[in-house]
Amino acid sequence: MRRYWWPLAIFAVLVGFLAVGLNRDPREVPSPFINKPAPSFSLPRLDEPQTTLSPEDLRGQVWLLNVWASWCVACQYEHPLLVDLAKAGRVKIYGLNYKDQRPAAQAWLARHGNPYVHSVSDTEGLVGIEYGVYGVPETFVIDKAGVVRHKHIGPVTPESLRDQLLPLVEKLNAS
Amino acid sequence: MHPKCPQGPTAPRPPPEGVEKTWGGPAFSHDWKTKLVCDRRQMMRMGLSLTALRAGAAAAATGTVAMAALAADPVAPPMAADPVLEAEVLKVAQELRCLVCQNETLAASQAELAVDLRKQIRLKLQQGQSADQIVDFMVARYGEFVRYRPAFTGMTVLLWLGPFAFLLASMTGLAVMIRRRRATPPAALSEAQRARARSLLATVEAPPSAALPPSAPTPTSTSSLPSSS
Repeated sequence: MRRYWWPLAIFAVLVGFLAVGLNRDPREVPSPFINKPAPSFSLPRLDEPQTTLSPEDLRGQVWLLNVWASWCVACQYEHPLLVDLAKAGRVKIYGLNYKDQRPAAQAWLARHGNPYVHSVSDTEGLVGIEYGVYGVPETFVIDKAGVVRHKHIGPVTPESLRDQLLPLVEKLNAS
Repeated sequence: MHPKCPQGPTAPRPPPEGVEKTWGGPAFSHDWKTKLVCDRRQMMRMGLSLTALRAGAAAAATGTVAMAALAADPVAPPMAADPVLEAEVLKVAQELRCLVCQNETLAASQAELAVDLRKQIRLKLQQGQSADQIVDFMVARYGEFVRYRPAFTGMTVLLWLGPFAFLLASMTGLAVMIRRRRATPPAALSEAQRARARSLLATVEAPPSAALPPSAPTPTSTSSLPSSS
């Protein structure tokens, strides 16, 4: 009987690998920035282009960097959540307005609400490349020391907010 | 076909770039999980048709189609400017994966991000950086996945050598099995089995008219195999 167990064992191992592999989302490419310092930048603010903002200005607080654009439809899906989050004051959200035009971006914020403390304009998408952005929206959690702790790919959902982002923010705030 | 992965020749020229700019921007949002994908496609279509209308109006206004074409494609990459450099760009881009259309290289993809990254490659080559430096730059930002050909490291050793190890193991297993089977002589038949074999052979060798009909309960040959004992 032992000889029949071998194919069964091999099959079980194969099923195990497939079960793990097929349940992963191939679109979610792990970010190499986790636990590494957030790349620096100095970009003009969306509301005041003559003023620049850089991650160094935000040291000492936990903040979210949300990559958004007025042309991004998926951003509209997560936007009400961000607006609520900002209203509740649970975490400061900064926006990276990615490959967008100022008037379009400002009109979009006027229409959908502005959850961002500030947004900065990455017109050429170069800071996006620095952060390894490969789609919009993406959200980075950055801690008090300016280290990236988490990257959320795709629109933030109520579940991901409740189970991942907010607990992480609380934890980082406490530390 | 994925709407975000337009097909086309491998030339690094994004056909819809100007069009999408007019509509609002590049189209590689993370929207595969949302329910808005269909709406988005509709908007895309609307955007395209609007652009076509606008381009048509512009052409009518200026009276030159060439002007409309210029307006529709304001940032045509300087492809023919330096064919040697372009070839170099494509060579590096072929080593890199487009993260939007994941089964395409940066050289083959027409996604907007691929266009941007090719621009980066071109810039860095002009600055005199080596292909390795550029690949490292991409890996530092997008992770190991950006390599189209995975690097040979401790993490990927199973990926590279796994198939060969599996082949070797199965060939060894097969060889051992064959050798073992050869080494064990088939078990001798008992007297009853011999008599049964003789009678079976007699029915086979008898003239066809005397052969048993196929519905007759002929004993299966497996019953005389030594392995069943």
